[in-house]
Amino acid sequence: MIKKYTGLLYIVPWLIGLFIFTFYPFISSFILSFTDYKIIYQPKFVGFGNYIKMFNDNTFFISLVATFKYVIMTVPLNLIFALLIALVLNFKLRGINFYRTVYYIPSILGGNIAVAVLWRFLFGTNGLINQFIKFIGINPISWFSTEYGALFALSTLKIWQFGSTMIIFLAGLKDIPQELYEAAAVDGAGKIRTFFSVTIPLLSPIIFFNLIMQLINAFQEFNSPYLITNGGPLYKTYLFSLMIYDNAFQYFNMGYASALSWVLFIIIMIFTVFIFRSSSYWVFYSDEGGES
Amino acid sequence: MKKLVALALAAALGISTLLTGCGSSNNSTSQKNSSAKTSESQSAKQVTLRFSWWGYDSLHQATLNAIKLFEQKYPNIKIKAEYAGWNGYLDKQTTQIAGGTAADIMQINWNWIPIFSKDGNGFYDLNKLADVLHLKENYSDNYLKYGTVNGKLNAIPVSMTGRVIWFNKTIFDKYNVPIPKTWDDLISSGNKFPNGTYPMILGAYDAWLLSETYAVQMTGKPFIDGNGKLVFDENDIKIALQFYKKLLDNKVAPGLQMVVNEGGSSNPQINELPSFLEGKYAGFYQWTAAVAQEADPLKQKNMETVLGGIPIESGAKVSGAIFKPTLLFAINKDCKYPKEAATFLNFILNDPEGVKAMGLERGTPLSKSAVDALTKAGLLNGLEPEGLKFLYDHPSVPFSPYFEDPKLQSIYTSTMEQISYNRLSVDEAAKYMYENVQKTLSEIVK
Repeated sequence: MIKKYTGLLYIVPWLIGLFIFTFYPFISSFILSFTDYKIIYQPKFVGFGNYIKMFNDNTFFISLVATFKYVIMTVPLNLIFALLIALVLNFKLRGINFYRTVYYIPSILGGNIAVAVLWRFLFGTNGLINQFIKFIGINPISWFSTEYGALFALSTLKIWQFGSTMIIFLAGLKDIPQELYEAAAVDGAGKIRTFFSVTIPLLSPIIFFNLIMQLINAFQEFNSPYLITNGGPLYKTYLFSLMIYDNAFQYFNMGYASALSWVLFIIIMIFTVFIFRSSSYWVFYSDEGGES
Repeated sequence: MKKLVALALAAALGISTLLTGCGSSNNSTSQKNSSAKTSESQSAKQVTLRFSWWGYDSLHQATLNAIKLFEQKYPNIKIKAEYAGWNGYLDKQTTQIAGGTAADIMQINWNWIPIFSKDGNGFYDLNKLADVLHLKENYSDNYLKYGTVNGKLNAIPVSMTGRVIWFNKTIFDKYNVPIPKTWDDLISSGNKFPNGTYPMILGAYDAWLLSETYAVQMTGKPFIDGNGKLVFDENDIKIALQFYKKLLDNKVAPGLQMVVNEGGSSNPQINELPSFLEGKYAGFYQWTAAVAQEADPLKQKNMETVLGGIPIESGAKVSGAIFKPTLLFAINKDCKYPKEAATFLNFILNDPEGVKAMGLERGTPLSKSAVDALTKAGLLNGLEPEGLKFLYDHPSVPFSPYFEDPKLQSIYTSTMEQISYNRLSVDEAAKYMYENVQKTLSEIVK
């Protein structure tokens, strides 16, 4: 009898955490989204008021557009970059473990203040990137004062943190049976053909997983616009999480902020479901066997 | 099995009590009364109080020194310091107040009083501790009213501050440009500097504050009144925005594109901008209490900062200057040892020993005994007292606590950005600002 519940007992601390820090806020934010809640006063029930307010709030649409642009820019670049690095690190080179560690460092640093300052210097008027651009004879770019320049600067910060995506790709690459490559070579396939006909299909479950994780991450991006651009110029980098934060902790509209979070949750949900549904067309599981 | 389940439940209960234990904000009045009584009888007992503030390194150091001196003088009271930088401080404070875990003694901002204590019951009424705090001897009612809601003294203003212009004299001298005295001087100074060098740097919010000051001086009206009503009409706002446009057109300040390109956002930390530290921006519009933030790094580069004040148009009835409490000290309404907390506040606000340790980090104190002590010690000098004197000599209309509401700040910033980016004409921007400020005020002031 004791044995039966021992496992459960082991995960009790985690369960407590799950209930207090995940389920409780999850449910209470849903309830709060139907209230006018100023944090220090009791919430007042306002029905769908907060959800209706969104449609009259210009910032909501501006923020939504900025977030979509950011996601479209960041997710594919992040995946491609992480995959390329993973391919390089998959070679049997001397000291490869050292390189693998080094390439993971940016992910540990993450989007902290120091990195934000570094990014401002990198993309600033006389920053390293503009110096380089000048060096190769092109006019310097106004990164932060233009819409796509600023979005790109924020995107690169996310792309730079490719570590965890890369590690998962690397594990996937290691899992691809060597004999398939040998068979491809025997059939006379070149490197590029092998990559697209062997590596990519066999890696598709990993791509699928990374795509979903990166998509969720990108939709929730907060640190970089908060620390670097503060949503500017002209709200062009006012990502959705920053809008939620401002409403919750700057304007004290916790009810409205909760409603916004639920909208973000639903958007992420729709995209995730869409990708899941589409996966039967492009994700190949080697243990399904048969058709190839 | 039962034992195991009981054990798990006990553990869960233990953790949850631990989490909620510090959040007991709903003390009943009877509890409060009894704790106040016991605190008197236990005054010799060891008491620990939490004191929270925001600031920067030198301010932290001065405050920690004052705490050390206090603990030596009152060995039965221990002060637990909780300090941080400004960014994100309000979030933390709000969560703590809402969760009932706020510190016993709090440094608060003036515009937080309407947020946390609309009816005056959000903080401890310090009038009850007037004797311990020596309020009558040290503070005139003119200043205490800034911390008073419904007759209850929620917080004591530590000092007053306002925005004035400061110039980098070294750079003005280098290009033989005299320090501007009038608005016309300021406007014409822009073209006297070589390309790429500007008499001032204005982030979007600074730009609005300076333009608003100008318009208040010209119209004699406050932008928003004390009750949160917008007094400016569209035309008054237009005066302010036209002024900003003039500053840009005459190269008095760089456009926001330039500021954003260098600092990432349109309200950057000025003292972090390389161009500012190199003297390419030879002036700034800063709170008197915070002038050291920019003046100190310039000094390290052998550049001298001087007070520019606010140009006054002849015939103007008011200076238009923004003038408000720098910050205030409050005691938690649920504090168990209010008397001890007041003893500590008295030490850092009025006691010569504490006052000298605190220095001018939070601005020239309002307390009379503090001013005496600092004058005697020869500590009352420098840019901050000079700027403050200018503000006392050039009074303006009352500044509204609603003015600095974060949502309004984002409207100000966005308006200035749209002018600087040429997205809106001055007329359109004035309309945009008028409508949005009006709408936001109607949401905030309920």
